[in-house]
Amino acid sequence: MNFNKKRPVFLDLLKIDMPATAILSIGHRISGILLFLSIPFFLYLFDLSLASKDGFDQARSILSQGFIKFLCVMLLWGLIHHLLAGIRFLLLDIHVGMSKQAASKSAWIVHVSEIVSLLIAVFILL
Amino acid sequence: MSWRPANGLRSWLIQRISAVYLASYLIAVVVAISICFPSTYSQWHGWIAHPVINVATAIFFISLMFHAWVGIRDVVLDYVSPLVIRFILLVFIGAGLLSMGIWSIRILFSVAL
Repeated sequence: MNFNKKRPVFLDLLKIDMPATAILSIGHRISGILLFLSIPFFLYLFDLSLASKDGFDQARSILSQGFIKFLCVMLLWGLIHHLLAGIRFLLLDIHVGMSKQAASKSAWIVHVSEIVSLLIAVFILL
Repeated sequence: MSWRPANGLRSWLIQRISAVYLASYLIAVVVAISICFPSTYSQWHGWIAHPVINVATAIFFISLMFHAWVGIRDVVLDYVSPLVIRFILLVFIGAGLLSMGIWSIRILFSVAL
């Protein structure tokens, strides 16, 4: 393979224009990594909560700790973003909303509904 | 479908099919807990012990492990270029996801029995 090694590379993330679609896309990746890392923690809680009544109470008290609650809100953002952005990507796969304007509009819809649903979820759960 | 080392279409399909299942399951969970939140141990245990929920959750965990494998593998292939480190990372991630998959099925099995 013969790549041009001298081709210009411009990766100053603070100067690159990041439209709503780009933020959605990188957010999808970041939230995916966070969710992946959280699997063992939630499997542990799932196991504990189902093992016995004591385990159930223990799992509840773990979830009521301040720092864990903060982590859960972060992960809840990750889940909501990953789900909504994922539905948008699936629609793009079947060629729904492919034009530049439609893609930008749907990215904005995801951003707004993500914040709204996160606020509602946090309000109900905390 | 014959097995080939780098079958992009198969990964792409696994990611999409698992995504549709994971999304449907999660939406069903949101609907279920907003109708009736399992706040006691016996309620919670009863939910997971229910055959339909038990099997649906097992499929959820299996889909989750496959979905995570394709996604995280893509991330590793994008950002980790030294082949030895890439290989070691992928082996660890694969082994981790396989163990977590088995762990989740064991939990569900012990609840169902």
